[in-house]
Amino acid sequence: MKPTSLNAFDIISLFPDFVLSNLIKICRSDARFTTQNSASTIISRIEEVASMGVLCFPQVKKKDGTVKMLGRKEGRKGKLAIHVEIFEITPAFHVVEVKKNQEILQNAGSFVIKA
Amino acid sequence: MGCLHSTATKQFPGHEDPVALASQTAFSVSEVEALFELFKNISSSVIDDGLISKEEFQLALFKNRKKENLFANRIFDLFDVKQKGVIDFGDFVRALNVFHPNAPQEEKIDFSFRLYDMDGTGFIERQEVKQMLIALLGESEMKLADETVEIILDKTFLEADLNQDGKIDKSEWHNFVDRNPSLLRIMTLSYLRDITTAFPSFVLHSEVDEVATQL
Repeated sequence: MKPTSLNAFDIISLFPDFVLSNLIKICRSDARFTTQNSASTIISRIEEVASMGVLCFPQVKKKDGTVKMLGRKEGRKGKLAIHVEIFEITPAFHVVEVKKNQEILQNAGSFVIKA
Repeated sequence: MGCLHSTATKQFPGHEDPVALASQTAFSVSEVEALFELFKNISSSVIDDGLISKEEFQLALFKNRKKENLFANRIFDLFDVKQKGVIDFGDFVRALNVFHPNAPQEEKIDFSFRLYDMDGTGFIERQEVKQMLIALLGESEMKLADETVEIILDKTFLEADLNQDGKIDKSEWHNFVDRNPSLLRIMTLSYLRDITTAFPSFVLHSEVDEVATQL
């Protein structure tokens, strides 16, 4: 399509995703970080965290580099579920992605997984 | 019976009841509450006063509080319905509502008209469109010769400006959009329909629930 066959408003509206979409993209709770620990160290550390403290995760499922944890306590709006995925860049270098899913915890604290 | 002393009203001037906002808009109550989480995040980023300033708006859009953009400026002005220089939560929800997939076409057409009518004269003038076009092109590093821009504007106004008075009025805009529905594409943000999934982290201290348990 030649530029001259578009009208001015068509061109204006072509601009990437329109400015407002940036408003919604912020405030995501996902976190991603890199670590030089091995995958097994990362997983054991996560399990350690899961079993202690206020947020007790009795259900921990591990499979192929992902760890899923489901909280025991029913918050006002359901149980907290955390999904951790580990990506291996090299055996000594991993990217860990932590996602909290839709269920909301009444008294959410934030917890930091120190690799 | 005394008034329910909402902490939200204290900290957030202009804060409105989520149930009321939900009833006025295409958002559900939990979606309004999710928007409140977003609002809190943006409105506290420079000054924690429960209102979105121009700087905070720019910070949210561009990750840079100083960056200005003709488009964004105009959008801020349209959100700032009461012309106070700040956006409160009610303004925020009602403005975003226009971008909801289920919002009435009429509202989208009206908003887009006001968007392009940058100086608010009630007409979209050729110079305004040229300014906007040049500004957006400039940011994108897409280069178009001035001559080409003029040709594009000629063509646009030939099609849209039915009475050929050099500007597009509200009814001409209506007519033009009816013939070119893709022009309203920018007026819909489809993920507004799933706003609660965009915020998996939000801790809901639901005002609605509090009211229910106190009755």
